[in-house]
Amino acid sequence: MQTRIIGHFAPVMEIDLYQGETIVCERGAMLYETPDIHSDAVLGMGFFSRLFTGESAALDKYEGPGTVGIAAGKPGMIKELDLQPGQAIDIAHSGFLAMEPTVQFSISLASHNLVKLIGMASFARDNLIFQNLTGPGKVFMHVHGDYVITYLEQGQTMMIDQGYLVFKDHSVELELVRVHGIENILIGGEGLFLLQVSGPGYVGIQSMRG
Amino acid sequence: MNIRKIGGYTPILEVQLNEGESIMCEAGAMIYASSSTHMESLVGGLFNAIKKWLTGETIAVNRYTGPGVIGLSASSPGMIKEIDLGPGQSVDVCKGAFMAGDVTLSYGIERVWKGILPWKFLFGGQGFFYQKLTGPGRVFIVVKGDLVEATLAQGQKMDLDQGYMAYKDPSVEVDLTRIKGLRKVFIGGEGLFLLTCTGPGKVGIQSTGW
Repeated sequence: MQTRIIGHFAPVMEIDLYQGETIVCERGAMLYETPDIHSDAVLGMGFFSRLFTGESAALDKYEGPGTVGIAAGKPGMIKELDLQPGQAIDIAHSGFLAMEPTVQFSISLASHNLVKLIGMASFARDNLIFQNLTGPGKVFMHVHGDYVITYLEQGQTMMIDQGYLVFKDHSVELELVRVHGIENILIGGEGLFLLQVSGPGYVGIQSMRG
Repeated sequence: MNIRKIGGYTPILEVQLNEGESIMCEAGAMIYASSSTHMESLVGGLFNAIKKWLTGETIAVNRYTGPGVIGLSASSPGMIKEIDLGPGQSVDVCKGAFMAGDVTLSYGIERVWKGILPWKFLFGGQGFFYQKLTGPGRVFIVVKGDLVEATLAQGQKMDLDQGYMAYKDPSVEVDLTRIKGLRKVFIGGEGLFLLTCTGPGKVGIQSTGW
């Protein structure tokens, strides 16, 4: 399998697949394919949680020989991550683009606490569900705009505006925190709640809302 | 204080604040902040709030105080223009273009029209007021799309389509001039009025409008 990224502003990723090689893509991400490509839908782990959260329940699988072009159709960048065996990351659902078939995927919810989850469902819908990917294998994601990657030490925290978190290590925890001060809420322009991420792990922040 | 721009098409302005250092930001521009930073929304009285509201900006400016890191983004493709103002030097920033500035700046409002009534400015997207920032200090301006900076000599004129001016020197005078010729007005596609700038001074023209 060979991949190359074409363009800069709203890039396309072109993947050459040899006989028998496959790539798994987000539904609707395919832009073009050569006629010999065989495509199919695959169901991942957490099929019911995907249905439950209203996400598309399946992903598309493309099998070679041939070429597939995929894109998110929005300005941004395509970033490649090489996951080690057992390494798990969470990608915001608007950011996932494609992965190698060796990667396992499921849905991870922003919190395991039901009360917090309902809070997030009401006030932070953009970051309610993540695509949880476990290595080994390569993962491709679309970052809206540009991005910053920060490493948080154990217990270190950071606030992120809603919709700007694009990926995080599975070990990074998420919480909804209220903006302090009544005038800050009313006129500060950041809304009522911000997301608080706490380490340890890497956090990726994009510069446009997904 | 250490300020750097990250990325290309949709840049992030990352500001590293030491203990006690502050920066002023447009309300809502923050996309991430360390939990150790302190945010305060400042209005500076009802009169100032009304004036700011008239410029088309949000009524508050947020002041972030360190220690910590904050990231700002306009959340749309464009660039960030930095202008370093000397003591007493000013720049007029158009509607929605202010992103951040040093706390040493003073903020004022400048009206666009001359004479008594802004009747001409009812026709178009320019707005009625500029935000006038006076140094000393650095200003960070959001430019939508790319930037052309034109330097006009004394008395030199340039006509702009409305909504494409990002900033100008206070010495540049602005007026709306009616497009000549009925055919051009009705089928020419530029509308009824163009914005005429008269030098001396610099005009910042952005490539994406409102």
